[in-house]
Amino acid sequence: MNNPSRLDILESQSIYIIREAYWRYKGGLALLWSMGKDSTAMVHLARKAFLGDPPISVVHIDTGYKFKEIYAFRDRYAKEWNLNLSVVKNQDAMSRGVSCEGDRFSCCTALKTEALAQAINLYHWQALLVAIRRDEHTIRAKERYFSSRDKDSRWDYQHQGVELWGEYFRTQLQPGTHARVHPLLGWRELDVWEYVLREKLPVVSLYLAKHKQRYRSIGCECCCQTVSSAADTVAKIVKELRVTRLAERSGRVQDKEREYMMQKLRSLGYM
Amino acid sequence: MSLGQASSIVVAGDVDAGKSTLIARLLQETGSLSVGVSESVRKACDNLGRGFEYAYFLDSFEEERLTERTIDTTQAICRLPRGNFCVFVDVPGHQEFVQAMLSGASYADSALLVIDANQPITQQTKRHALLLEFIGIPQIIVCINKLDLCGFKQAAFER
Repeated sequence: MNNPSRLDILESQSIYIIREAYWRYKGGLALLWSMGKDSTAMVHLARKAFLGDPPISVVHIDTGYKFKEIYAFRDRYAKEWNLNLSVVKNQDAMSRGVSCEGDRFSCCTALKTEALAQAINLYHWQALLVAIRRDEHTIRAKERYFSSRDKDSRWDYQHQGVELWGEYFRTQLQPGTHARVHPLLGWRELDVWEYVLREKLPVVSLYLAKHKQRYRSIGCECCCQTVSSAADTVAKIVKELRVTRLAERSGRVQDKEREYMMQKLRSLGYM
Repeated sequence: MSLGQASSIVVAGDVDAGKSTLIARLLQETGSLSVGVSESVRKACDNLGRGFEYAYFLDSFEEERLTERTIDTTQAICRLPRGNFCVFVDVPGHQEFVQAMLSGASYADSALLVIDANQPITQQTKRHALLLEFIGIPQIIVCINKLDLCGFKQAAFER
């Protein structure tokens, strides 16, 4: 390739990381798919990395509170792309009726972090591909491409390892621990949308404006708010993001309920 | 591994030279700080009973804010004219966290070495310069910071 574009470079770096993770963890590797734009782009990258048929389990952590459009998207594309999908839930917490009506920190921890920890024990995953990006949150900006979690899924964020030149990853694991692998860490929100546009990827319709409102970040229905926007196509979203000053996750309530919420959630194993 | 077409600049130097503050100030001057994040930093400063701290845009961990020093490396995007951008890599200055400095610096293709005008050039500053060379960064720009604290005296700059 003569002059690779930024997207070409980002794509090939991400594919390299996904393949590196597979080489290291083989069948112990799973990919977290929330059906959001970032993890859907990551599913696409994994498909590209393995000629359309990634030997990687795809996991949806289902809280039961997602938008109906998200479930429909999951079912449609899991089938269309022939994904090896596992849906994991914290059944115990769900039957106790845990919800964000009470305390959002406990709700996210029970329905996402603990649900994932239970699934890691059940399926013996050694590593998870997670589509977080540095530019979406200042706590996520502190991450490494390969980041280890202890046996309780905790993130020892004050003692992160050396990761040099994006080539020498720490992939060795102690028994009972697992790794979080972040292939999209260096992508910007704008890069993801430009990639969605270039690769003609499907996205959940909630991202596209209806009546001058759209979601910039999606998850559980109770914890997402819309932003004012007239962007009703992916091309218009790309245009909008070139000028906006509003933070991507400004509509996400769980980040802001109390101070250092994201740090506290993530130190326990939240994505 | 480069970061796409954008150039990335690591800001190195001894602890308390003002590395994180300098980056955040540059982010503000270029309109790169998003509205929601500015609000959360303002709130964090109020809760700690401190004046507005630019460094908190990069020092996002509670421990970093309490001890007023960067513990781990981070990166921030700086908007430039015509839709271009560059990436600033913030690294800790403290010698205890040199592994995080190495990790961050290895993603950069140029460097700013920040020096406090009111201090002599420290061993840690020289060490950072040496590490930048080891990492493979060919270009280092020296930045003399905190000149306001010595009344912008030419003598302090030349020292």
